[in-house]
Amino acid sequence: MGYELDVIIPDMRSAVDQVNHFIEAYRPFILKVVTETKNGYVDLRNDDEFSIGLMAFHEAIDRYKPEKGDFLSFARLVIQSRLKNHWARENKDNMIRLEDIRSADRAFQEASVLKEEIAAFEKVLESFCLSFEDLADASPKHIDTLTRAKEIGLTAAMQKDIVQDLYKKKRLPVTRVAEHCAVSVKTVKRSKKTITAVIIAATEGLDKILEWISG
Amino acid sequence: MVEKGLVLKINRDSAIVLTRENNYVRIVRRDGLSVGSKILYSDSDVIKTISWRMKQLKGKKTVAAAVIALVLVCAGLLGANAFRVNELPPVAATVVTVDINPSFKLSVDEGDLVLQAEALNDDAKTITLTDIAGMRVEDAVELLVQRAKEAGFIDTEDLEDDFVLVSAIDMDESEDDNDAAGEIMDRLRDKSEDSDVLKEVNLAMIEATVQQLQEAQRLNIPVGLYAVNGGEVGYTVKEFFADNGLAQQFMSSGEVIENSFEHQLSLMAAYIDLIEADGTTKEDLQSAFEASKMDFFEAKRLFKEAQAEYKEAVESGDEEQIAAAKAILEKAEAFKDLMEQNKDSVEAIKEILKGTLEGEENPEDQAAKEQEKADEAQKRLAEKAAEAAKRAEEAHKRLEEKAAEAAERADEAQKRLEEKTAKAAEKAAEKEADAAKKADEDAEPEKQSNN
Repeated sequence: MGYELDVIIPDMRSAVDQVNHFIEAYRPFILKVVTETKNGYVDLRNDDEFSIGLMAFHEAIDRYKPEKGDFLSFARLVIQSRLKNHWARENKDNMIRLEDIRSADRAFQEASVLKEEIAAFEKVLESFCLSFEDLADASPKHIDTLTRAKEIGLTAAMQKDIVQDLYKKKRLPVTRVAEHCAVSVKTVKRSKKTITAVIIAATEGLDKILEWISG
Repeated sequence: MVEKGLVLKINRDSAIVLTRENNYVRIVRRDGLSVGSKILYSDSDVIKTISWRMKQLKGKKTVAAAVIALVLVCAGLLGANAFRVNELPPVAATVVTVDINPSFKLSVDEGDLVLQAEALNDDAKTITLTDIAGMRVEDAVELLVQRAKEAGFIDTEDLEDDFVLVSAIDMDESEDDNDAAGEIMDRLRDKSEDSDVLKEVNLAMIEATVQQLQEAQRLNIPVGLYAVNGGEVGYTVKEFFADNGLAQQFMSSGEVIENSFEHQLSLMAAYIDLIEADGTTKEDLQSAFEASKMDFFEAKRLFKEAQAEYKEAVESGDEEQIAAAKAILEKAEAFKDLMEQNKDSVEAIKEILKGTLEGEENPEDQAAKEQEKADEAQKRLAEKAAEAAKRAEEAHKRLEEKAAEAAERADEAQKRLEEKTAKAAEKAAEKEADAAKKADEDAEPEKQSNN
């Protein structure tokens, strides 16, 4: 693999489309390097680091020569170096900008609301004998099944008697959900827990969480 | 792939995030994580559990090759006929046994349809089972009860309660995400509300495990009874439930849906006519019976009405309507309480009738005793009716008080509003006066200067 890359890269430089395609394909790799170098996950609201990683990877493509060794190791070095520069610059810069305070505050507020919603979510799920771990174990791996389960959950949540039944019996009324959403009983049964969680989120008014999954 | 995840929970070595596709994923724990933050992660951060790896293996060619080799070896050992796949029975997701007197075993698939119906004892063998495959499980149970009745195994016209024991066993124990047994019980519960056939019997339902099924089969007792107390061998379903202690034990892990009240009442109507007892006793019983019958239907009707109206009111959002509907609902509940108590009285009356019928052989000996019992039942009924009437009155009074309070508060609010308006008007008037005064004052110096 490394050997092939070493050959392709120098030729690729002139073709912008190819380069972009390439970077796109290696996004997971870039993220992995950033995450490991930082020893923490990149936060969505503060994704400078990821952008720097992308730019560094591009730089690596430009600067790479087969003499430098295998491409991915080289790219890793460049990414790490750029990140460290970035962090050093941030530390030196002692000015606290109003804009930064404002955005940090906003981020904090949003995270607090989310935190509360998540805590409430966990609690209600508990009364249904469901935990986040259960949901992780039961989560369908196939994207189609996931999407279908989400849609079923959102649709079923709008049907008052289904929701009432669910809350009363602490169990999903599988047949009714299947009928209402025009899917087979088998389909509903397979994603029972996931569907239940979606309905609970919708019924308890956990808007931020719903927003996150509906996007 | 690069994924966005909302951090839901942080454990010692891992964290659980929720993706925008509604996938719940376990990832490696790293510094700086907090619940509620949104992060980027990649596939290498995901913790793969063993079952996940198994699912991965399913597609692998190596596994397929091994399976093919195994099949070929077995074919060689057992002969090719062993693999006529079309004749192999599809795997049952759930096994449902129905024990009345005849005992049946239903194999049910994932969609709650019956794959196969089998007879478990000689009585059951006399019942036709060939057309049951393909039916929904709840319809199959209803049909079996119907046929047992037609064949004479159940007599729903006598005063003895008939029990139908339904036990559901999840066969697929690997997936805990399965509560097929519970769902089948839900279906039966719903069905029994609409089925005339099922309403005439007491439906006892319980879940059991595969081990319990095997043990029960070995001991040759109904698995539902075995699941309750390890199976006192020798009880029939009827005997089991006739014993109060055992019945109670059953109800702690299972559920009994009693035969409908209406069915009991219709039986009683038939039997009251048959009593050749002393005229007074008969009339007392009849009037008590009529009273309870009327109340029962009244309660049912009112309650349904109240529920419908309440639902409408809530949907309309009109507060007045909601309050009024709630009032009716409370009244209906009071009546329902009355009905509940009447049920007890009806049970008592039933016992009396039973005793009377049995005592027909020695009418002189029994008559006095029966008279006493009837008097007591009558008294209890009257007391309960009085209590319920009182409670209904109290509820009514409370409602009136609440309405009065609400009216008072509305008056006060009105008054306060008027006061405020008056005050505001005053102030406005004051201001005008001031302004006018000021205007005059301003005009004065001019006058003076004009002089």
